Amino acid sequence: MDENADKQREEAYLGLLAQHGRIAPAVARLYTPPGEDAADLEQEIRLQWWRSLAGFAGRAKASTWMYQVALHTALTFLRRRRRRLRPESLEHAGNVADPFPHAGGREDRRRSALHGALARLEPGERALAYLWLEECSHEEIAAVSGISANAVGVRLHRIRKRLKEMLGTGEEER
Amino acid sequence: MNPQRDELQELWRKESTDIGVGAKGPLPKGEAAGRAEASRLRRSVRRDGWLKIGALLFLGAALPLFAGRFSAAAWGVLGFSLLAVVLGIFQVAWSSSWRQESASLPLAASLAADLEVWRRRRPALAVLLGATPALAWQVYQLAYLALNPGRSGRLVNLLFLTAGGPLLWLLATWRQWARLEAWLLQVEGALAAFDENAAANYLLARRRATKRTVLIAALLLALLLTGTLLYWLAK
Repeated sequence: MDENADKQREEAYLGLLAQHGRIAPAVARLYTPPGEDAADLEQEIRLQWWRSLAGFAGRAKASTWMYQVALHTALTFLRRRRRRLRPESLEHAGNVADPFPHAGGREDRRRSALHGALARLEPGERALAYLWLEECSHEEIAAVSGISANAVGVRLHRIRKRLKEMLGTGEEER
Repeated sequence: MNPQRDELQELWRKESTDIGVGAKGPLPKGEAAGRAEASRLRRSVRRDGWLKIGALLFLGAALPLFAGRFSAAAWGVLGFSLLAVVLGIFQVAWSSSWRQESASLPLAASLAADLEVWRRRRPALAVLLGATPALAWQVYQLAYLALNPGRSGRLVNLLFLTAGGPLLWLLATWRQWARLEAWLLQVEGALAAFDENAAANYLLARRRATKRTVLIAALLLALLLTGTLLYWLAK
């Protein structure tokens, strides 16, 4: 009986991982510089998914639950040598959370700059920005964050404006 | 391509495709030791608890030495060691009862729950973890005096005994408090993005933490200067 339950849990976990497993490395890259810390956080996210799988039980959309657990883990994952990021020029953005340190193409540089700009947001704002970049609807972001869809809209408007200012796209908000 | 998609979303989408599913590894079912701060705290409370319980070994080794000369100092060794053991048992039992169930809640609720739980635990945690070096110091001092009764009248030994332990306890408690404070400020900072009240509280808490740190640093400096001055005056 227990073996059956264990097997079912393993299958459910592997199924969720196959569908949404990329959330773990993406969130780890978002909150830690590449290297040991990112690997630790990624592993911790997977561990928390495994541990809280019983509490999920299909009450929410699988992706919503996985975003919640991953972001909660990242936001409470203290590193002792946490660096305070200052709003320096984006030429240095690549040093912060650049997953493409040796890339030279224009798009790679833009992606690198996007990571740099995200790293300059406050951790909670970064979570909202990440969910928006993942193309989650306002309703889903509201379900993950626990604030109203209206409040999500207001905060995202501010965050997008800041991101675009930092990236220097100069695009006006629609 | 989705016509509503923003150019940043488009950029991110390409990166997501590059990430793929991420590294595959064994199932984490055998892993008990998480790397998050809450797991590390639980481990350090448990380790510290076992360290305190280890005072039993010290007692077992020291008691035969006191045979036939059970002075007040020897009773002190016994008392402080037993106190350490009792606190250690409490710590191990307490940390085992901690459950982490908030991760599956929406972020605002889960972070608020974390803050409430850890703020409630913080005073006891800081005091318990801070007590370990102080208890070890007291036991060591008393054992020294029990074995060298002729030296208990010396001022320096009396000072070490009466002031050393409490001072160590205060400093170690403050260190633990500061460690917890740093973590709780991080959680509060994250919560500030979702909750206006939390944002205001976060600013106040940061100001309070800075003031406290400056005050304690000033006190320690004053203590150091007083000690140096007394040393030179006594010479």
